[in-house]
Amino acid sequence: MENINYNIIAYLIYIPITFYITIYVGKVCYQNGEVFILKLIPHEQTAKAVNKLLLIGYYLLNLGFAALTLSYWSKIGHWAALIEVLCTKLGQIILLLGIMHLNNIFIIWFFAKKQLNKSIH
Amino acid sequence: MNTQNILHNQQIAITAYLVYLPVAIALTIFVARTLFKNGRVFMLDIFNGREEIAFATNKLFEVGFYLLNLGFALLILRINYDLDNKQIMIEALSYKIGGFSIYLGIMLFFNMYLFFRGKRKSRENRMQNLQTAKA
Repeated sequence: MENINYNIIAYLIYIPITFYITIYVGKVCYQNGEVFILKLIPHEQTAKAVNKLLLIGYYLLNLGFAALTLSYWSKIGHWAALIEVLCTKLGQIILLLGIMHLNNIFIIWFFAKKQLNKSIH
Repeated sequence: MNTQNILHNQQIAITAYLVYLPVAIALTIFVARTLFKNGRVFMLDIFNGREEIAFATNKLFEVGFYLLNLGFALLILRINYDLDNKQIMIEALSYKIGGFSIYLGIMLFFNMYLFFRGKRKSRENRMQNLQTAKA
């Protein structure tokens, strides 16, 4: 019982959860974001290509970041600490995703507004 | 403190976390469901009945809401003091859950403010368009 490596258990829980959340959020944004990109770029094929490239870039950034932060975890000594560290790290990455997501919504809104103003004047 | 005591405290901490996590997650899901089920009406109004873009926006905001609140719920999970007995555990837990539900309430009202603001803006735009069309 004494020599369980809690860090490895935590990693094995952390990696699937972060990957699942990242991929799920990416899929939802990819599907629902197409309408907005089509509005910004009226040419349909270009819009689809841009959307796909954005999705790939998003995956690379977030999965890379999730894997990168693994090396900064503290040593975990017992089950209570495992839950604490795991939840804190998951919370950090989910919060980061949320902030980036809202930032993207804001950027799209900003560009859409700019384009709308241009088309009126 | 002897080993027995430390083990006892760890056990209580695990119990506290196992109570906190389902409650916080269930609260978030309940609030998000209610908010965005009713948000569709607002979005349809804001985007002048264009269903495709209205529902897409609604979904995107829903995902953002889930991410922010679940992330925050997980981030504040750690209970910093030693849990010597069940009484301290219950006090710590109710402090956490109460604080989190106040936070959720504020987020809910902020989202409602955004909905109402969007509705007002779209109405103003429509009035303006009507006037320019008349002129």
